[in-house]
Amino acid sequence: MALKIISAGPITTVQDQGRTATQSSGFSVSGVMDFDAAGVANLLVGNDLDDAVVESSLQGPTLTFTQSSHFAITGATANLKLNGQPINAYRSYFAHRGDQLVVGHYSSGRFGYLAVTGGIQVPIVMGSRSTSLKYHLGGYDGRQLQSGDVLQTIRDEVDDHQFQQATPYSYVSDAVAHIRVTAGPQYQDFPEQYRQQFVQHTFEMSQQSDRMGARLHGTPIDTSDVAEMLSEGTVFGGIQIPNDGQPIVLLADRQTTGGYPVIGVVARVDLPKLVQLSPGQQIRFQWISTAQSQDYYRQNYGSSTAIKQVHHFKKLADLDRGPANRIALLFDD
Amino acid sequence: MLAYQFLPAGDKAVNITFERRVSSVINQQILKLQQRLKNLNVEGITGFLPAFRTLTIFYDPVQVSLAQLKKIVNAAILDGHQLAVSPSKRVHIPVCYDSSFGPDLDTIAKQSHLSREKVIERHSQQDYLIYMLGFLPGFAYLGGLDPDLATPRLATPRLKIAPGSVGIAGEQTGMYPIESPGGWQIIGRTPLHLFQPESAHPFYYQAGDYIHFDVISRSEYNDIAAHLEDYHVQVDTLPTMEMGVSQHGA
Repeated sequence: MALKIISAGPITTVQDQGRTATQSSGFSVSGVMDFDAAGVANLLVGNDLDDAVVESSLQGPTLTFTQSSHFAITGATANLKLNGQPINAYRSYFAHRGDQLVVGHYSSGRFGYLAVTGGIQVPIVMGSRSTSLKYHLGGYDGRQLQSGDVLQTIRDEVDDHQFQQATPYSYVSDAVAHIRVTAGPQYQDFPEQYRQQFVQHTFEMSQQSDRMGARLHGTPIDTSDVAEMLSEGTVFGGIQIPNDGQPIVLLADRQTTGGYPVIGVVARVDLPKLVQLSPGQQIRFQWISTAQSQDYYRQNYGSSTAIKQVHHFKKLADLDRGPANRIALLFDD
Repeated sequence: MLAYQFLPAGDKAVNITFERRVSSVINQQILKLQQRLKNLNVEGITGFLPAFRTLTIFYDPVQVSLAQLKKIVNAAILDGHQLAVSPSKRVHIPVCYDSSFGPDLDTIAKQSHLSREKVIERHSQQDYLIYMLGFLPGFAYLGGLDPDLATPRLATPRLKIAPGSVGIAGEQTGMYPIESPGGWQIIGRTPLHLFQPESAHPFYYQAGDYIHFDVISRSEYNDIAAHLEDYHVQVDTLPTMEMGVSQHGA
């Protein structure tokens, strides 16, 4: 037993890196929206990058630790409290059995993450622990978490945990968020004029954005010269231009195939930024080459070491609770 | 000889894109390429998604570069050209065309100037090629519908279509593996659960297989539905043809 949900927030689910094995059978991939924040949370508590975490949007959970445990909170910004005392995001803490964590409302950013040492244990369904709310499958009984749910961890707590802190990804953006994109599979089907227009005008993040996709509003991109498509596979961050010319960025819960032309794909390195943008945020796209995008990806996400470097991971020496923690562990379970 | 292009779909996927048409020859080529690449166990390739005229290859650019991938794909297509195509599967799906399951049978009959019986006969005599799966889990895009049966979608989509429903939309026919809203003209229903997430094999078929609808009565439907765990889906092996391919552009 690791933790018990007191109140879950409106949309809180268990997610990992997604269900890729069945996407060729038409099953949505799902998985964490912000792989950067989820990965950092896992690394902070000594987990593997792809361990399952708790993802919340709008508001994070309130929960009680039913077993002493290391944890870390990342992603969207909130006023975090452990037993009523303010704590920081992007660092690891030790919670004693019975401690209460309150994440609260997100003041900036959309998706927040909680990682617990050992990784969240829910059954693997079709190769993944991710929750598909649409198909009521995976995660915790195929649904969002609710009051009273008890989550276990896969592996036991370690007693030689290295407390660490990291710098957050910069979610607070300027008046206009700059998002780099690479050419999509239908890029060459769009007349040059519209490829230029796509990066010369700003778009606005609309209210209609969720785990499936983000609808943007702006000067319409004309698709009348783009040849009718045959449906093909979709990717995370693919930017479809439907007939009304208003872009839709395909996200974690996207359908596996789509029939609208994809003008561009959000560079992996900027995907975490994009998924965290609030409705009303202005966005300006910038074309970069696929090779350039892959270089950024390698530098930032090529390995756990790269992620730790980019986020300036630092060990926190001798926390005052160290001895108490060790004693607490003796009495646990 | 089939021409193809490499069209990147972001920094972690590339589409191997063939000519823009619905063709069993292109479909075979895509599936042959997928099989060949799977057998090669290329480090860094993380998944495949075959569609009408594309094979999307998902990969990790840290482990394999796009340039390396292009070489591997080109070689696989050249090598594959020498190889016999692996035989296709034909999966038999029992379908009850009872009017209680097929509210739109009369619409199809009227549209095609055929009797209900003839519509059922024609619909159930074809082998339908699965071009791809998408839209819903296990939803197969099938080619080969008798052109006489082609009927536009409903003007107003239904809010709920029962799982197992079999329908027609334009020149396509297909099955709804799970409950969904939809505008297809519904003509029958299979008692099989076309999506079984708890099973080691959640789906009966994949892209490149053929579907054949076997007509069953209402009482047979009830029997199968009552003893689903005892029902063995009939699967035949079909010989397939050989074809060539060439690269064009890049």
